[in-house]
Amino acid sequence: MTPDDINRRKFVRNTGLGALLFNVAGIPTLLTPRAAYSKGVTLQTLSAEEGLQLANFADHLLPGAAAAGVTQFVDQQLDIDPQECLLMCKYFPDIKAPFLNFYRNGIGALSNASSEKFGKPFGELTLEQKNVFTDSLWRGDVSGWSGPPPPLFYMMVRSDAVDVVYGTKEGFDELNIPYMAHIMPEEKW
Amino acid sequence: MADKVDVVVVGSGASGSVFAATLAEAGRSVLVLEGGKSRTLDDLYSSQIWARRLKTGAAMVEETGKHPVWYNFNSGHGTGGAAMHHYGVWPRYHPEDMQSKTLFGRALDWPFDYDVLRPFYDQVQADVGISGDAEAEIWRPPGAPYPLPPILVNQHGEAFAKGFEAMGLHTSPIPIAVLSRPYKGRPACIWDGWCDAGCPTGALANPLAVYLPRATAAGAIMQSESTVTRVLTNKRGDRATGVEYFDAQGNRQVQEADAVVLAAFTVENPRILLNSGSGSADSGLANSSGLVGKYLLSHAAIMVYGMFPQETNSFFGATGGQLFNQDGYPKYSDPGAYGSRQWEIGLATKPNDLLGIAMSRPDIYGEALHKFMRDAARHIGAMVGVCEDQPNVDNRVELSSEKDRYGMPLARTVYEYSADAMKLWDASAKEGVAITKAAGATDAWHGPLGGQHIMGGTIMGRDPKQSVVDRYSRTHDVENLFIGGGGVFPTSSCVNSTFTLHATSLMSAQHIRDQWSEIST
Repeated sequence: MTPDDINRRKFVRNTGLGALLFNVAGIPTLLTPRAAYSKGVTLQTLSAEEGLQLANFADHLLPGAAAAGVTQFVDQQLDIDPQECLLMCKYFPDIKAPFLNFYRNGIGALSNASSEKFGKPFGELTLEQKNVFTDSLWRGDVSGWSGPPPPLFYMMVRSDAVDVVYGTKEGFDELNIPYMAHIMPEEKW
Repeated sequence: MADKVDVVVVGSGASGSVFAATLAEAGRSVLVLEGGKSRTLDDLYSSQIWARRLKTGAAMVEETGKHPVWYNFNSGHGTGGAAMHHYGVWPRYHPEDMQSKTLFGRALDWPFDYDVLRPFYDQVQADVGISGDAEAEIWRPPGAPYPLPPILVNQHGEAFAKGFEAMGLHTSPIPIAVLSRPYKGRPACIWDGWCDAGCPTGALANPLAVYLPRATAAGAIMQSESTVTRVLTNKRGDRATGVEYFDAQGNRQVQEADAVVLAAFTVENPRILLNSGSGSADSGLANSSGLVGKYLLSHAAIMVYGMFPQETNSFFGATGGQLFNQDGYPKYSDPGAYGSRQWEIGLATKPNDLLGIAMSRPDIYGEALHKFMRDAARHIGAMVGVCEDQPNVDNRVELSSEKDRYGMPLARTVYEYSADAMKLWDASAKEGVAITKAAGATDAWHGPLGGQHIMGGTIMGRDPKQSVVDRYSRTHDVENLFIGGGGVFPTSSCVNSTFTLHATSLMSAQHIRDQWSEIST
């Protein structure tokens, strides 16, 4: 049986793997987000531009998040049943499924507000400008912002970044703490 | 239509599993309808990311009012329900929690006193195996000693204990439904700190570890992906005839039964009742009091953190904590506030997720976040304060104008913590930071107001005009319809609700068992 023969979500669940199912050149393939990033997997829900914006922002919040596949992780999770979703945003009463709306609106607001304040998208700002902008997001006083509450968007993207960088076996190793899994998701998830 | 059963239980979580085991072992034919997907212990990956599958994610509840109750975070979906990700902190209610109106002229009375519930607490703790030290727990109400010795206390608990001692406060081992020794065929905990992700070893008393295996061994049938939308009744509306549900294919089905137990979680139970009206649909079923959905309750919770100079190794231990304090339990402990509060001390803490290391300081980002993570990974300490809220008829579950895919209205919660609860929360914030500093932390801080546990909405009482169910959790209006879970609690106390809802469910289930001929006809 090949992955094409069975339901996509069912495949992930039944194989019991920690890797996620990415679409690689039309073929469902189990990969970690980091591997999906390095292979340049095409995004399925976000546009390439949205993905770039998200990666830039997440990488500023936690350097290394882009290479750890934060955009691929979020993009893949936005394409599945909200009940099965692995993003922390599902906890929050103010974020309703489908969660794509939250991310799409947040990324759009980030880009627009950054352009209004600095004349450039977030990814092209200097480090100092990024810090000024990020601080204003956390405080919730961003001019030109039209989207989800800025601190909420900041916290969710930051959480996604922490997930892919430190929520994994490699992340625990990086922190020099033992993972101690009962049931270890394969592919070091 | 499937064959009629003696009892249909709606929900496979903490309460539903107790009903199913007790009634199946008594020889009743039992069908458990679970709205979520089927799950086994092998599905519980040790990962804070994968743990999120245990929690609700679909937009089933609209949360309104000043304060959310954090439905998605506190509830569960799939076999075992919310108890699959609970931490197993199992203190008992105190006698005064059940007689607040009589003793203090505040809140509401339960329809029985503590001594009535005590033997059910004792039986449940013998069933599941609670670890603790009854003598050291100086606040503990009367009851059988814990069947198991206390759990591990490492540098994390020891660090906080010094702070409590310096403040003149007492600590005891935490009462926790995690096995410190092998018990009844289940293994002892190995203190890996993955309780929130669901415990696949059976060391933590989740439904898949204790009551669901007993239920299925006795012949109960588990049926997942079966979403109950209504309780069906006779024409008079005083006897339930079964339930309507939608199966995995989305087809409407009817399951007939001689008795119905709604144990679908605190918010879902009133949602189903309010959607079950026939002839007087606006008011719903079992709602002659007008109180279905009313008196919703939650705990005002506060996380307190410290960065310690010594290693705490907080990645190790039980997520629910190592030590315990209820010095703030007496109802007038804090000036100007009525209610109880407690501390759960030394929570095992992982790097990510809502209660993880990174979210303890959401203001930090960039390279500073990496540094914070490295520093905190072995040096952070965490404890949680839990504060009682007062019953308020305006805090409620009601039906939304939005509907789910089956055409059933979503639930809407309306909630605001009482002034008393907020004062208790403020007192906890100050005390928690002071304790942590006294413990020697180089930095101490607290998190925002959080909602922990959801109770009420189908409260029990003696007077049918002032409550929804009686002492046995039987609805006053429908003689063979029972409610399981924390929804029947008229007061919240400040203690974690799972032990008490096991006890009230067992009391109700044994009543059904013993009075079956009367209930079934």
